[in-house]
Amino acid sequence: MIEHTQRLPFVMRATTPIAWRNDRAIATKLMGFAATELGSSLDMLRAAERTDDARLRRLYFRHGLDEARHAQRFRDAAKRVHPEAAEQTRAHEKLHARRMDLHEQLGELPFVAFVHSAEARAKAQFEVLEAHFASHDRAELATLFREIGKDEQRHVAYSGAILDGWRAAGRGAEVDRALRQVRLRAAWQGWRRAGRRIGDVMVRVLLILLFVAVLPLFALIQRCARRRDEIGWRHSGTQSFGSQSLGSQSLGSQSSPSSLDELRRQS
Amino acid sequence: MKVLGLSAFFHDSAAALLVDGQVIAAAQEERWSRLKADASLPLEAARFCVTEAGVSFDDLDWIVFHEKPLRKFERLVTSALDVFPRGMSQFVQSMGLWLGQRLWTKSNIARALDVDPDRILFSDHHRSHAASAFFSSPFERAAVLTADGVGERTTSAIYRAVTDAHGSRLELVKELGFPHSMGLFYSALTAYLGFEVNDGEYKVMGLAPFGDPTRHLPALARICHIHDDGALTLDLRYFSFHRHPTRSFTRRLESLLGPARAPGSALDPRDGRDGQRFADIAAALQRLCERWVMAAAAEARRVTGEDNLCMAGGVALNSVANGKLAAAGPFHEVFVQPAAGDAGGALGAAQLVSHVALGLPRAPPMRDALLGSAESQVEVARFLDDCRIRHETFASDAERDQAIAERLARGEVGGLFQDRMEWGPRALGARSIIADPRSAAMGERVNRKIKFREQFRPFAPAALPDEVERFFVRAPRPDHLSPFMLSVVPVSDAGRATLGAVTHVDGSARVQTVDPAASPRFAALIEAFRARTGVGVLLNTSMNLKGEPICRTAAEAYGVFDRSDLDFLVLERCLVTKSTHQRHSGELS
Repeated sequence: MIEHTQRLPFVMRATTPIAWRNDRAIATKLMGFAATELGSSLDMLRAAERTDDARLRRLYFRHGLDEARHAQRFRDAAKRVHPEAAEQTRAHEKLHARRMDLHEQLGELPFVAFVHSAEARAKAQFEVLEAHFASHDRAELATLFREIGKDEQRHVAYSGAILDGWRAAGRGAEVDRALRQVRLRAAWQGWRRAGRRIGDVMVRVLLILLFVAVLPLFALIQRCARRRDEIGWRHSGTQSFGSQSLGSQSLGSQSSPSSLDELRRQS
Repeated sequence: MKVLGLSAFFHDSAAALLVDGQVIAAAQEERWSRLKADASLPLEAARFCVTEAGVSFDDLDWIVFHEKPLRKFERLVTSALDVFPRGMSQFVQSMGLWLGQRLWTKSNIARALDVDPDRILFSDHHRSHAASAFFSSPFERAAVLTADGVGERTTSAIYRAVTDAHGSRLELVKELGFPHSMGLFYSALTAYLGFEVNDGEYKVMGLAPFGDPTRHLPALARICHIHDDGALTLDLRYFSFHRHPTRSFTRRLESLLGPARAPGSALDPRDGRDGQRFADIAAALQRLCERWVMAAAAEARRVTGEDNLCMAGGVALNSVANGKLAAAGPFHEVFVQPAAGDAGGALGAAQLVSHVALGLPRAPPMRDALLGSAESQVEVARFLDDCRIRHETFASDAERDQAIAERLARGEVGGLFQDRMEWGPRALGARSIIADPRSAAMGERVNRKIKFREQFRPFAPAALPDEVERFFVRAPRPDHLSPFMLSVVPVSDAGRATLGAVTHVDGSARVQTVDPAASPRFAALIEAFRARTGVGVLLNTSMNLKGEPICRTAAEAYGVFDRSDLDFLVLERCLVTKSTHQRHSGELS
C-alpha cells in the first residue's frame, strides 16, 4: 500500500541539496514543516473530538499531541538555524497550518487510510533528510529528523494495524478502495494547488497591467480634483445633542441614525 | 429577536449572538481554527453561538457584519490613486484579496450560513466598536472614544451615547480619517521594533518600562504630531503602511531612530546597546500614545459634556494608557469592553441592531467575560478516560481548591480549565495558567519554561477585591477596568515587597480584580490560596504557548500541559499531574 511512496526518496535525494541549500532555506523549510505538522495536529485533535470509538479517540489524540510537539520542535530548530528567516516565514506558516476537517469530509475508514499514507510519506521523507544532514555534519538536524521519524513510524504502525483489523473484519475491499482514493486525492490536490498558483500569477499580471495602464489617468483626475488633505477632526453633520460649533468638513450621511435601511447598505 | 454579529477579514474575526437584546454567546474564530488572530469568516464561532442558544442559522432574524465593505474598498482605491505611481505591490495584493473575496461579503456570508441575503446588514466599523463599549457598560449616557488602525476610513471617533425613555442612541460627534491614526503609528513602530503587527503591541507595552522615554520622544513627537484638540497628524514620509502590503515604515524612520530590529533577533533591554535603544523607543512610543489618549479623551469630554467614558478599538487595549486615563483623566468613570479590538466589532454590531435599530431594551452591564464554549465535568472525565490519562477527581470545588492551593503554595505552576471560555484576549480564570505570585523567580520560570516567551514580559496578578487596596494603588474612582484586566496600576510598597512575580520593572501591574459575585469559582480558588498563604493574589496568564491562541477545549489544554513545564492541570474537577502524565505519555500503540 505504500509502494508509491517508495519512489519519493529517489526524487527527494536529488532535490534535497537544492531545497535545503543554506541556513535561510533550511529555516524556511523547517517552518513549512512546522505548519504542516500543526495542521495535521489540528485534524487529528478534531478527529479525536468527532469519533465515537474510544480507542480511536485515544490514538488520534496521542497522534495529535505528537504532531503538535513536532511542530514546536521544527519551529524551535528553525529559530536556532536562522531566527530572522524563521520569523519572516510566520506569515507563510499561517497560510498552511490549516485544519482540513478530513475526518468530517472522508469518514472514519478513509481518514485512517489517509493518515497511514501521509505518515508513510513523511517517514520516507524524514529518512532522506536525516541522511542528508548526517552527511553534512549537521548532527542536530539529523537527530531531529531521526527522532520525529520514529514517531512517524509509530503512526504508520498504528494506522496500519487499524487498517489490518478492518481487513480482518471483512472490510478489505473498502480499505483498498480508500487507499486508492487517497492516492487519487493527493494527485487531485496537487493539481488544484498548481491551478491556484497559476491563477494567482495570472491575476497578479492582470492587476499589474491595470495599475500601469488604467490607474495613471484616474490618479491624474484625482489629483486635479482633490481637496486639501483632511487633517484634524471631521465634525458630524447631524447634531442633535450638545452645542459645539461644526467644522467646515461634514460627515454627511455617515452620521445618520442606525436604521435598518442604512444598515442594509454596504457603502 | 435573534441577531448574530460577525467581524472578519482583517484580524481577530469573531461572532456574537444576542437574543432579545441579551448576549447569549460570543467567541473568536481563532479558538477553533487555532490560528492566532485568524481573520477568516467566523463560521465555527458562529455555529457555536447559535448552538449555545439552541437555534439554527435559519432562525436568525438578522445577521450583521461589523463594517461596510464597499466603503472600505473605496478607501483602498482612492488611497492607491493618492500614492500613484508608488504602491503597486499594495494595489496588487489588496485588489487580489478584495476582488477574490471581500467585495462579495454579503453573498459569501449568505452562502456559508445558508441564509437569505436580505437578512444581512452592515454596520460601520467604528460605530460597531462604540456600540460594543457603550451597550456593555453600566452607563445610561456616556462619551465614547474609539481608536484603532483604520476602519472603513475612520481611524478614531468620538460619539455621544444615550439610553433613555426614548430608546438608545449613538451619535457621531467627530472623527479622524485615514492615514492619521494612533493605531497605525503604534503598529508601524511595533514592526520597527521587530514584533509582529496586530500581535506584538503587547510586547512593546511590556518593553517600554525598561526604557527612558525622553531620549526619543522629541523625534517621535515630530513625526506624530498631537494637536491641542486631540487630533493627530502623521508625517507620512516616515511610513509606508498606506502604500506597501508588508512594510509599514520607510528608511527615513531608520535614519531618524537607527536601524530597525530584525524580527526574531535576541532582545535584552538592559544590554546598554541596541536592546536599550529599542526599549527607549518603546518607552517614547508608549508615552506618546498615553499623551494622545489623554488629549483625545479631553476633547471627548469637551465636546460631549458627559461625565463617563467608554472606549473601544485596538488602542483601548493599551492597559497602561487606560490605567492613567482612569486615574487622572477628565472623566469620572471609564469603561472598556474586554474584547475591545476587532473581535468586539461582532458584539457591537449585534448590539447596535438590537438596541438602536430594533429598539430592544439593554441587557444588564457586562460583569464577566465568560461568553465562550465550555466542557462539563462529565465531558472532561470522558475525555480523560477515553484517552487513558490518569487523573484524580474531586468530589467538590472546595476540595479541589484546597489541593490546588497547596500545590501552588509549594511552588508548582498549574493550568486551570473551568467554566465558559473568556471573550477577548485575556484569560480571566477560565483558561489560565496560575502560580504563586510571591517570588520573582516564579515569573522567570513561567516565561522561560512554560510560556516560552520573552523574559521582559510581565505577568498579571488576579486579586480578590479586598486585597487590591493592600497591594495596589488605585484612584478613588469606580473601577470598571480591572475585572477585565484592562488597566495597569502602581503596586504599593506592601505589594512590591510581596508580589515579586507580578510586579513589573517600573513597579506597576496589570491587575485583575476577581469579584466573587462575577467569577465565584476563580474567587474561591484565590480565597483557598489566601487561607494557606495569607496572600489573596495569584499570578494569572493565558493558557497557551507562544504564538498560539488560548486553548478552548480540555484536549487543547492538555496539549499545552504536555508541551510545557506545567506541574499540574486542572480540568473542571479533575486533576492531572506531571508525574502521572509522564508515566502514560508514551502509550500510543
